[in-house]
Amino acid sequence: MSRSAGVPLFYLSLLLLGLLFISPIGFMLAGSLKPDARVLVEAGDWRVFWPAGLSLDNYLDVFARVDFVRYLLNSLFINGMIVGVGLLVNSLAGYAFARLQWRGRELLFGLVLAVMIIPLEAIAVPLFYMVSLAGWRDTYLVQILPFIANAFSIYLFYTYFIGMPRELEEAARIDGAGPLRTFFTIIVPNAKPVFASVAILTFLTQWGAFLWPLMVTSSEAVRPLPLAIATFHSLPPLQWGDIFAFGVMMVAPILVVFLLFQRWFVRGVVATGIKG
Amino acid sequence: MTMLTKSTPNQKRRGLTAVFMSAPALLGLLLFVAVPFLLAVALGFTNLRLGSPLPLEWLGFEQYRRIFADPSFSRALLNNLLFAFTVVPLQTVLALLLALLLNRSLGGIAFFRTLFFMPVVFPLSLVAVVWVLIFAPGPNGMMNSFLELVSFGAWTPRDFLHDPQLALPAIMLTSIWQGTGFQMVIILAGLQAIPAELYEAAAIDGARRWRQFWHVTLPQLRNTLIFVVLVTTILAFRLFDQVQIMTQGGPHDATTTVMFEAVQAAFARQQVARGAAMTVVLFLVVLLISWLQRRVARQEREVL
Amino acid sequence: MATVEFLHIHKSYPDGTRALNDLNLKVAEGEMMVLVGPSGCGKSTSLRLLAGLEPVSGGELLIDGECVNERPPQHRDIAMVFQNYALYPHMTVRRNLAFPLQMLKMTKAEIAKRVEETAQLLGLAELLERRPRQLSGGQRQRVAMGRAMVRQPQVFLMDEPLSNLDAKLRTQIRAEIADLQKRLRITTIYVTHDQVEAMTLGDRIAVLNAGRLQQVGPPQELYEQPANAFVAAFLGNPGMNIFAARLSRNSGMLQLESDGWRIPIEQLLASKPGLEEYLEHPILVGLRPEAFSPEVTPAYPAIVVSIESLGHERLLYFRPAATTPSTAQKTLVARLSCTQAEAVGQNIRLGFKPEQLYFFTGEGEVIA
Repeated sequence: MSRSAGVPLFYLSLLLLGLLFISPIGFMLAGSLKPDARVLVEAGDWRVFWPAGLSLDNYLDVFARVDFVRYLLNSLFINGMIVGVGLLVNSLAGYAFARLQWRGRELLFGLVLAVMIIPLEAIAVPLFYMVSLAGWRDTYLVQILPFIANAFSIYLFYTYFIGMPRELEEAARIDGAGPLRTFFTIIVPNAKPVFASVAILTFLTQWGAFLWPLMVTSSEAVRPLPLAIATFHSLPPLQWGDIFAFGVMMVAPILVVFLLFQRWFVRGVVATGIKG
Repeated sequence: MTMLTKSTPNQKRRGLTAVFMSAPALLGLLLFVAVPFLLAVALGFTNLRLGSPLPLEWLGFEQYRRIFADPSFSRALLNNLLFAFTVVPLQTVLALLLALLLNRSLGGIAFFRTLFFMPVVFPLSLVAVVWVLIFAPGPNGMMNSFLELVSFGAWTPRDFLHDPQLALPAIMLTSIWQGTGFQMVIILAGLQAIPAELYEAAAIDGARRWRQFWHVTLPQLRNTLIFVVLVTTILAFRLFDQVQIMTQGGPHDATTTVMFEAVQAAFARQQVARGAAMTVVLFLVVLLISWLQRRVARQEREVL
Repeated sequence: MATVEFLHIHKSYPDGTRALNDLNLKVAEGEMMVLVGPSGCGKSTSLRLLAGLEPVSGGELLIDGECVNERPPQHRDIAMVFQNYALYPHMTVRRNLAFPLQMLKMTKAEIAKRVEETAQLLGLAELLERRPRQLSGGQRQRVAMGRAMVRQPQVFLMDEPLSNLDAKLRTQIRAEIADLQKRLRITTIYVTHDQVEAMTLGDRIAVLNAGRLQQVGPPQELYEQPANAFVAAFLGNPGMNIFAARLSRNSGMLQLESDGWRIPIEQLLASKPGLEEYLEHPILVGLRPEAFSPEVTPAYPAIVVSIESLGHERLLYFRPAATTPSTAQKTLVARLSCTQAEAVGQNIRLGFKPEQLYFFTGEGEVIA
């Protein structure tokens, strides 16, 4: 391929492909900004991407029809706890497995790896049974606690810590720092990529959590965003403009998180064992 | 060997610290993964039904015989397999192509990477709802009119999500759209980890682009691709959200999946034990896939 | 300042590898002891055991006469310089230097004072606010030294501290380390695989091989009186030529096996009475590359295999050539001045004085 002719052609094909790829998003964004009646009617031609009128009615509608702020706060709280506490708990475990000598380490790490392949779906039913017995249904706790310890996160931390130069910790040890202090003052500041990528991965998977909240919650007070959109979808009158507006507002926070930490995320992917 | 196991008080203290450090995570995994999983296995052998007046009975493998005799469940398993065998190769090839396209340092490349990654940040439930509308029946549906456009009018509008032949492919397309970006980022990372010297050496040896791809890129990407395929396959067997929102398993079980059947059994029909048994089947499938992946990957990776 | 003593130290790993076997070594107060040997010989392990990074499997470690086996690293009053320096990447040079002092719970004022002093001593004053990544290799090395020195420990441990530097810088910093150590007189144990470093730095050198101590002594003594063939071959640049031989009474000759050279033995037996016992036994004979000279007689025939010119001198690789040379013969090396020019494949004659021969038993122990 000759470079001079190739580059514009390359951009053009990339642009076309990219447009095709984000057309559903354009559809949603445009739909959220126009009167409900036109969403369906205009879905058949180019006007599907045209935000006729640029009205914010749908957004206002969302706030009027459901307690969007409530759902959003629920989601933020639940995810914040899972990500925040999860980072702490799983990184500590990953470090203990990667770097410290203790009895039972090998065996327990083997079990962690085994647990990694159990999908939530495979244990959802008995877990539901357990939390029902414990009387935890319809709480924040039941949506947070089971997801804090995460075998995959432990594994990612483990592979990252294993790859860090051992001398760093040995130097700290000789300088007089114990394991905990070494972890917090030496390891954590030098492991930002893995913390960022685990945080983003956890956030991505948990933000869309649907099955579990559907099973264990019933009241709006504790339900997260994904359930609200399902409510919208099944609650007449079906108003697509509202749904789209809701969707845009639901994705916005996660998009911000991603764009903020994108650089870290890619570095984390490279640095952790994700790429195999 | 007694010489080896002798440990100083200092080491004991460090060992104890290690136990404390890992305890919260291990406790969580035990309580919320290991115990429920064992419970699922145990429950699967009983006839437990919530709110049922019947006494609790030990069904043993009879439960599994019943499940596999249920045509809906067989169909669900078949659908998962179809889904996996279609989505995994298509999505991986697409992600690989995109990654190869985007693996160069031209201006604006970062923008395109973000563009293709964008669908990944969309929760599946939202994706499903948007695509329900994309697949709307009639000539005004977005997908229908798009197909009409590219086929120069030869396409007659169909009701995708209520069409036994098209419902599952529609869900597949939705999933591919949402999942490709993630794979792409991982493959990109894998591509960037390939040392440039390898390409230079291949170029000096006279290998053209296509041969470089076969002899440098693919072998170097092997483990990345194995990882990506494994994760996508597992996700394919866990398929639930899209089905729940887009088709409810219909029409006539055309899009039902193991997880959908399990949730139906456990919640719609209160057959907790039956649902648990189905999830055990799911676990065994995932276990089998992971085991296969380990076998394939073992040759090249030392640890794990 | 303190003495350090390894008493019957053993170290084996759970997988069965024996890293150290009955190591006995005493380092005097203020001494620079260099542990040298090929990779995997146990030299780094000795250092790590002394630092407390790994537990010993047997024996006692004494610092200033006290057993420190059970003490954690920070209570052994030692400091260590690592091969890759192990500077904390997220901390400035100042904070890197301050960290060990903070761990000692010193006051802020005292920490600041010590950091300044150390920085002055090592010429780091300008670099205090930089991060390790902004420093050159030599600067990083100095910061690593500084972090070790700032604690004013009883013992310095250095694990191949120069091996990440380029050759020129290595020579320069080697001299600085020697100078610093002479001034501060801190007991130092220095690990290296580079025998030049060992020869130039050590008050004494301890040569290790396969987990066993081979010989300890001042550099010159080890060079002149190696205890065994391993030490002989390891020290020197290049090391001593070692080849199999047999002393034969019948022919009255020292026959170099498969090498063809035959050397009269009367004189040898006269100067080394110990050799008598080894008549008719397979033994090992050693010759330093420096021993060869084209001017000395008797001279022996040789065929040039290759030549490395070092500018002021040449390393001549050759095969002894009494008979037709074969590839089964060992290649020997001679260090010659640059006055002559031989070509590869050329037949030459090289001589050496018989008293420059070293004799070792078949197992490699020196014959006195």
